[in-house]
Amino acid sequence: MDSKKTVICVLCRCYGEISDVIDLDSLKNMLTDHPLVSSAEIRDCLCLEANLEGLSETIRQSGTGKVLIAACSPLARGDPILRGLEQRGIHPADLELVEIREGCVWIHKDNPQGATGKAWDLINMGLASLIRKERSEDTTTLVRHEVVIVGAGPAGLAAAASLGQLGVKVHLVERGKRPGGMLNLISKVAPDETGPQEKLAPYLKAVDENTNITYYASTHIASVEGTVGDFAISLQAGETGHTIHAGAVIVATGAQALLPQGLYRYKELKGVLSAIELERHLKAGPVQARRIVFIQCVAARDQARPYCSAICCPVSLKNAMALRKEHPEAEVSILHRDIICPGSTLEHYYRRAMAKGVKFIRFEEQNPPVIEGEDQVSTVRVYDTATGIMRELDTDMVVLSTPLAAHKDAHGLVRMLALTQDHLGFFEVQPLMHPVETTVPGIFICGSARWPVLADRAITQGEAAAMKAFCLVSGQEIAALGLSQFKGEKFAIARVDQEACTGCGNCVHICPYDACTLGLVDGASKSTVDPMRCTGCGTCVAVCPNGSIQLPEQDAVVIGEMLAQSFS
Amino acid sequence: MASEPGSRNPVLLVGGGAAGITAALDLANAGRAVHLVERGPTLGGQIAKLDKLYPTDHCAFCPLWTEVHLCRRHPLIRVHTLSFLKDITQQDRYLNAIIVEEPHLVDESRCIFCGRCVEKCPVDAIESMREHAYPRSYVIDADACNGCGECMQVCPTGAIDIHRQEQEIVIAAEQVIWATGFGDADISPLEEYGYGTHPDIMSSLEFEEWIAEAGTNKGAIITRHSGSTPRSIAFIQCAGARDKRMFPYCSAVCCMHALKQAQWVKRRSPAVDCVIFYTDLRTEGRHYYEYYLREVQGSSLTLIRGRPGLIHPLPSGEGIAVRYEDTLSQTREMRRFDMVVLNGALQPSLTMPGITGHVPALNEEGFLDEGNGLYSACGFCKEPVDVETSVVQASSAALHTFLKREGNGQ
Repeated sequence: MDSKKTVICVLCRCYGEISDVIDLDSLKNMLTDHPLVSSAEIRDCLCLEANLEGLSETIRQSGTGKVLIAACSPLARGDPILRGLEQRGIHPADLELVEIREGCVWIHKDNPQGATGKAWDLINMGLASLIRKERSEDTTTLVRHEVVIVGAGPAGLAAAASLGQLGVKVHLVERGKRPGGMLNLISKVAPDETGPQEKLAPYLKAVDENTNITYYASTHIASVEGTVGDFAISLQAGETGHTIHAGAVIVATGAQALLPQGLYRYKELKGVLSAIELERHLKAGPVQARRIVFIQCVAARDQARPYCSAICCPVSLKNAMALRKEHPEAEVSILHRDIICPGSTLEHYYRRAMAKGVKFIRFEEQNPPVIEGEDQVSTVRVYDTATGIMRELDTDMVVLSTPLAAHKDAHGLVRMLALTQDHLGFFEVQPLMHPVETTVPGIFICGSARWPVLADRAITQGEAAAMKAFCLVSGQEIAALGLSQFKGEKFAIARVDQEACTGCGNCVHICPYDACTLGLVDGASKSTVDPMRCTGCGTCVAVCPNGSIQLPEQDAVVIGEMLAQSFS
Repeated sequence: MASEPGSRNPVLLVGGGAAGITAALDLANAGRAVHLVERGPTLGGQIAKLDKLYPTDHCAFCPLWTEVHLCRRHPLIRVHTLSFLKDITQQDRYLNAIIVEEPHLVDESRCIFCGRCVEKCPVDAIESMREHAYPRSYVIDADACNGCGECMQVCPTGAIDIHRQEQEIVIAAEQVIWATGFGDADISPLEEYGYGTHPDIMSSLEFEEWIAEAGTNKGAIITRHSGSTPRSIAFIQCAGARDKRMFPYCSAVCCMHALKQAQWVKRRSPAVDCVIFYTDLRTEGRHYYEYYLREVQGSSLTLIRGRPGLIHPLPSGEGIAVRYEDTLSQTREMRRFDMVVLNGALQPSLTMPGITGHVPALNEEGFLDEGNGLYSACGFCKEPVDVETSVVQASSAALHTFLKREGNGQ
């Protein structure tokens, strides 16, 4: 047998779906004469279990190794064919599926000759790929059954308590003294109006009592090394530092309450407070003011901060009701642009505030309320859009509802973890189906660090992040090729030809996942790829000036040869 | 009939939408066996029916498909489509669940989607699954089928057997997670919205399917009654929601949904005049408000604050009159539209008419309260939420099944 003739080609008739349009017999004859093909045959419905068995038997007997299958799309029955053969011991690198049904037969039904020609091109492109393509080298990492959680607010505490209870060793790192985060600053939690300590009690108890959980107070993250499964994190507490190890990291650093500097005569008139200052007053004891006006969307939902902070409406409802409860004669108005209380619980909360006598006045962004007074606030003037009347509200106290904003100093942590922030400063997460996952495997984000949320939702997110981390650290080892949040397995891992690499660093700058780094190899600067971080996206390949970084599954030569076969 | 996966402390997941799929994968990835029970013929739930997703404007297919695919091939997940939970009883530490699996008259694992059965069927009882289904196959409407058996004769792979019977599967589960999602409520009892009086007064989910690229009109924006391009479309928010007569709750997803639909109408047919009638624009999610800003500033979309008092077809049948008060200018007006999209009347699936099988205790609005120890709930069947929050809840519910096991000392 000719040593180059190593490929078995199998053409699927698909019970006429393919063979009624394409001249499979002539394709088969041409393939038989092809210099790379040892045998070619036509079969029916490769995807059926019984036919798969026969096919895999034929492949095994031939002993040639490589198989090209011309059939339907992997989105249809192609995937069961590939998986069926893999399960029967045929290596995926030795398999090539060429789609000649959906993208060829079905769209060229009226031109059988053209369809046959296109199928011939597609098959030749498949052969070019199959004969050269390689499989990326896989590596594995032993997983540490430990998780580092950064930030001990409600999200971080919930994550820590859950993982601790599941037997995972947890390092809970908080830069402040006390756990609790923003809940330490407020009077009651909206919308269920439990006390903050009551809300946190089960989690604080777990942190106290569960021996799996270690709490590090007044501690910063100094540096992060390593990748998923085995991160090494240096902690800094005052002058002392030490290093801990973990399989996964959960970021729960929260956000900060923005102060309404320079707005609505804040700091200029007595009686003009920010929402967080009112919380402090309510926490301390009864508030004396009897005529109170809340102004919503202060420095939010505008051009500078084009987002809704989600917590301000429920928080103002809560505080307005608390003030009315303390002094039933108190006049409490909420000036808003929209009351944003989506869902069932919050909508009912809004209704309840109305029933409790809180007044709601809607204003337009371009026509905001005006605060009047000499030394102390006396009047708020606002154009009420519902009635078209300019209202003058006698006022003792104005509460400015400002949004939660991203921590200004978050970028240090972002850089250490190789994460990204959106333009508002919040941590970027994966969209839609993976909302607590980041682009870096093993790093999860929950709570207001990713987007402003109420405490209850922050807790739910903390639990979700804990679940994702638990999936990761409950395994023994992680394979680099199995590390993809999206597909179950990676397409490829980029490979650097160390001799050809000039160390220009283009790949390092462009890599969205921080997988490429420059280092000295035999005295020369060379790029290396971290297989745990690389997702096989191929962006580096595009910017490498001399082609020294490639995806083994589809390198430049493979693509070049495939192109040469196209439109032949 | 007993069933695999029988060991490994199985969890029963009811509902195969975004939340159900996420919870199933989380559980299975952490080593638990899962029975995923889905009422419809395919996994994916409501997302699978959406054309585009906010705020990314991406097609719904890709992010969902990979998850469905992973679910289908995970060795610890057993998917039961066309199935419902008939009954559930507690027995010591375990729950005994009876799942009724309606007959898969077309065997998905053998169907090659050639369409010969559809051509042959004399009574049009065979329908293709929607484009986003995986695996994609055909569904035979057993009620419409006349039993002639022509489809079985013509099917080349022997995938069809119209004599298959439904089967009951008994499984033992340790816990149950409900993730049954939501559906469209019938808004015709609220007569002022005129639902059912004109073909171009649609619910927003009907409209989504009507304009979807993978839907009826392949992305074309046309009216239902004449097939012509509409000059104007009204999107009515809070229709049936935030309304004591129907649903007192806010459905949470509709504001963004309407903005998204209006934007896609504008992109495909820029001349169409889109007007959104709203009460409060609830754009609180991640990057939602920016989506709104982009939408309003970037296109000639009109927003009117007010809930129309009457929607009525014009006597000629050409067009629909909408009477409303613009609460920002305090003026009462009447305007003619070619299409009206009613947004808001979404109800938890377990309260939908025709629901069969076991239904756990629901609160007065039809939502599942947080677990009574026997079950957890996530997604829209627990409270109205968007996709992101729904899948966060799903992961949290998956975690709670582990915490409960620890709590029970198992």
